[in-house]
Amino acid sequence: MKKLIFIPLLFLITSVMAQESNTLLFRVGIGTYSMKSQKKFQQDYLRSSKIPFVNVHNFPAFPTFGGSFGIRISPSASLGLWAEYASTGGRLHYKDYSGHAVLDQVLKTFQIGPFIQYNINNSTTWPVYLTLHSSVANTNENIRSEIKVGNQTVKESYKLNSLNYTLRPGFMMSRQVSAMVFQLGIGTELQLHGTLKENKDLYFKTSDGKELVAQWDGLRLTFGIGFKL
Amino acid sequence: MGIRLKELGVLLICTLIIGLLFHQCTFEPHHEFISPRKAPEPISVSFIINDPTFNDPYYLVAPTRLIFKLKDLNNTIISSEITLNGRSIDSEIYRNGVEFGLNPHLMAIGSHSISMTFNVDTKSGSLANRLGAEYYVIKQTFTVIIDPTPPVFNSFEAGMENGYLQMKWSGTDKTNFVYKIKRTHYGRSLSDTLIQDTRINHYIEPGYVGGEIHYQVVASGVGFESVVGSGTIEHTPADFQIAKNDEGVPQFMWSNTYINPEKVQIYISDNNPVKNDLRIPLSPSGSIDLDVPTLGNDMRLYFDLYRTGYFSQRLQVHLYLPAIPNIKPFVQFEILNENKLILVTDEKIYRYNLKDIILEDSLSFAELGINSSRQIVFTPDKSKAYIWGNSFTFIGFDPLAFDKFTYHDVEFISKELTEPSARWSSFSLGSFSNTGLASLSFFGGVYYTMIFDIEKGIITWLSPKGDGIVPIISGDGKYFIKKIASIFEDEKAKIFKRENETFNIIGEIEGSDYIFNPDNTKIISFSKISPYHDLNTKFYNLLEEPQDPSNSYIFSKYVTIPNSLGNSDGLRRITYDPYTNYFAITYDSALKLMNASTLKYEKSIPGFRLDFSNNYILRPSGFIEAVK
Repeated sequence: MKKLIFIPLLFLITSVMAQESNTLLFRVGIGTYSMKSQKKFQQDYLRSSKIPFVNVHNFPAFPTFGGSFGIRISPSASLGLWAEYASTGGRLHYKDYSGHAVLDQVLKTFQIGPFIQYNINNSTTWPVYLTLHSSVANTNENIRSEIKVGNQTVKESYKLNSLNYTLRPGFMMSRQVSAMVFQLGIGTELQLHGTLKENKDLYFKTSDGKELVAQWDGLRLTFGIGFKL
Repeated sequence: MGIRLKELGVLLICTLIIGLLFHQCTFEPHHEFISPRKAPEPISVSFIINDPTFNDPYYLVAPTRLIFKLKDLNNTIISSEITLNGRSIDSEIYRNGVEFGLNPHLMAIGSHSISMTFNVDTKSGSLANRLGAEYYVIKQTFTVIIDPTPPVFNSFEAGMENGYLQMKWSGTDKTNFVYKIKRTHYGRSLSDTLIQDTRINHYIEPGYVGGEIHYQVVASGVGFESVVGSGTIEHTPADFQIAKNDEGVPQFMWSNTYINPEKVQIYISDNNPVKNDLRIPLSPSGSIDLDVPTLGNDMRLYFDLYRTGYFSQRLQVHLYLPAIPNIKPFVQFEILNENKLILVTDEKIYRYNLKDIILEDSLSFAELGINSSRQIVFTPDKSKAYIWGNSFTFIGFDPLAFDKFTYHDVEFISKELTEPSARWSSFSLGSFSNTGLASLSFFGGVYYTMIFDIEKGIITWLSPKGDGIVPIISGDGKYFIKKIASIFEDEKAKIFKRENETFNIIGEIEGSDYIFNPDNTKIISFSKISPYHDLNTKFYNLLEEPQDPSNSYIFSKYVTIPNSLGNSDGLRRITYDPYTNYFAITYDSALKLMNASTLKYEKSIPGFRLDFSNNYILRPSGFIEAVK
C-alpha cells in the first residue's frame, strides 16, 4: 500500500516543486542491522526446542531503497524530505528424512522525515556535506513457525509492528554533471525502539526480560542519482 | 518551474526502476539445513526374563511378577501394553524392563493368551524421534496355562551321604508346580527353599550340621500342595569332649567327624574359658587348650557349629566337665603345723596328709557323744583342739592323733550364774591360749563372759552381768581383748593384762575384730565406719601400754582394705595366716594376699570366695590345692 502512495507522491512533488537550485534524488544503499533483540528471540527459541535447528539466516545486511528532495536555503545548506525502505530476516531450519522444522522472522521498515545538509569544504566540483537525517520508522515483522513430520504439519504465525524514531548523522559527497547529480553518502543509524505488538496487545519477551523490538541501528551506505531542479 | 521534457522522461524511468526494485528486493529467507541423518535399520530382539525357567507355554503355579527386558539392546522402552486374552492389564516400566503380574487365583483353569507390545526408542536422533513420533514397535505373545492337576511321584529317599543330608525322588513330566523344601530344626522352622526347575529330583541340604531336623519336599501348584516325601533324622556331627591332659591343662577335643567338614566352623565366644572369640574350621579331629578353671569350678563350654552362610541352622553344643573334689566338703578347716589338714563336716572331723592329700583319719561327733556338728576351737599352737560337748562339758583332744581326750565340766558355773527365772542356760566357746586358759560366754537368763582356767577348773575373770561379747585371749594367756562398744563408727575394746592371778585393764584400742600376732606382741584390729565402707586395719604394740589404762593405745601401722573390687564383688572375710604372715583377703571373685609386715599385696588368686592357709587355697565344697 505504501508503495502505491510513495511513487506517485514523489513524482508529483518533484514535478510541482522542482526549481533550478533544488535537488531530487533516488537512492539505493546497503545497511547493517543490530537486531540484538531479534537474535535473542531466535536463540531463546533454539535453546528451548528439542529440534537441532541450524541458524541459516541471522539478520544479514540487505539493500535499502529510497529518495530525497532537497531545497537550497543558503549557498552552503539545504533542507529537505527523505524516505527509505529496508528489510532483513532470520531463519532457524532443520530438515531430515522424517520431516522439517523452521522458524522465520522477516522484518520490513519504511521511514520518512526531514534532513539537513551543510557544505563543509566549499568545493564546487566535489562538495562534501555534513548531513543529519531524522525520521519516523514503521516496522512490520512476520514470525512464522512450521513443523512437519510425516503427513502432520503444525504451523503458527504472528504479525507484529512497531514505531521507531531515528537519527542518522553522516557525510555525503556530491558531483554535478550538467543537470544530473550523483551522491555518495555514509552514516550511522541511531534509533529509539518501540515494542513490536500484534493488535496492540500481544507482544513477546526475551529470556532477559525485555520486550521484543526491531533494532535497525547500524551503518548505512547510499548511492544516489538525481536532478538539479 | 522549468523541467524540460527530456529530464522529465528520465525522472519517470528512474521512478519506475526504483519502484520495481523496491517491489522485488524485500528480504526473503531461502537457505535450508538438510541433515545427512539416515533412517534407522530394522532390528530383531529377544528377551531376558526374570524367571529362569520361563517357557512357552508358561505354567503359572503362584502369583508371579514377570519382568521382560530387551536382550543385548539398551534402547529405552518408551511405552508398553500388555493384554491378557485381549484385555489390557496393569504393567509398569522399571529400569528399562516391563513388569506385570499374573495371579492364577484370578484366572480360569486352562490356557490364556498374553500379548506384549513394546514401543522402543530408535535413538536415530531424527526430527520425528526427538518429537516422540518415531519408535520401534516390538510385539511378543505367549500362552499361560493354569493346571490344577498335581504330579505323581513314585519314590522318595533321604539320608546322610558324603557327610551331607541328601534327598532324592522320582522325576515327573509335569511342569505346573514348584518344589518347596521345608525344614524344621529343633522346632524352629527354616525358610522354605524354592526349586522352580521341575526337572530337578535331587536336593542336597547345605546348612545341616547335626542335631534333629525334620524335612519335607512338597510339590506346590495352583490348588494343590503334594508331599513328595518327608522324614526326621538326628545325628551327632562329631565326638566332642573336654578333658584334662597329662599336665592338667583342660582341652576341648573332637574326632570322628560325621558331617562333611567343608566350610563348617566351630565358634566359641569369649564367654567361655578362652581368651577371645574363636572360630575354628572343623577338621576330622583336633583340639585346643582352654583356660584353667579356678579352684572348684566346673568347666562348661558352649559353642556353635555351623556351615558358612547358614548360621541360622547352627547346632549349639554344650560340654561339661565337673570339678572333682579332692577333699571332703567342710564347714570349718584348720591346717596344722605338720602339714596336716583338719576338716569339720556335718558329721565328722577329718584329718588329711597334705603331702599327697590323702585322708588319714576321721572322728565322728557321735564318737564324742555329740549329736550335731559343732565348731572346733584350736589353741594358737594347734597342739590342742576343743569342742563343746553335750550339756555342760567341753572336750579337748589332740588333733594330730584324735586321742588324748579331756573332758571339762563347767556345770558349777551354770549353777552359780543362772538366774532363778531362767528356763535354760548354755555356754559357748571363745578362744584358747596355749597355757590352758579359755574364754567362754554363758547365758542363763542373763549373759556373762569369762576367762576359765581349764587346769584348775576355776574362773579367773568374770564380766559384769549382761555382757555377752566373748573375749579373745592371747596365745600366752597374758592378755585378752574385750570389746566394749558396738556403735559402728565407734567400736572399741579394752586390753586386759594378767598380773598375778587377776586380769587388769591396761588400755583401749579401736576396732570391731581383733587378733593377736603369733608372738603376742601386737594386736591387729579391723574396723569399718559402716558395712559399705572399706576396712581399716591398725596395728598396736602391746608393750607400749598407755600410762593411763583409760587411754587408748596408739597404732603403729595402718592400712585400708577395699570393701569391694567393683561390680558388687564384695569383701567376704579377712584372716591372718601365721604360717605365711599374710592377710588373706577373700572377695567373691579373688583372694588377695597382703604381707602383714610390709602391708603390700603380693598375690592375687582368682576364684570364688577362697580360703587360705599355709600357702594352700581351699573351697568349702571340697577342694584344696597349693598356691602356684
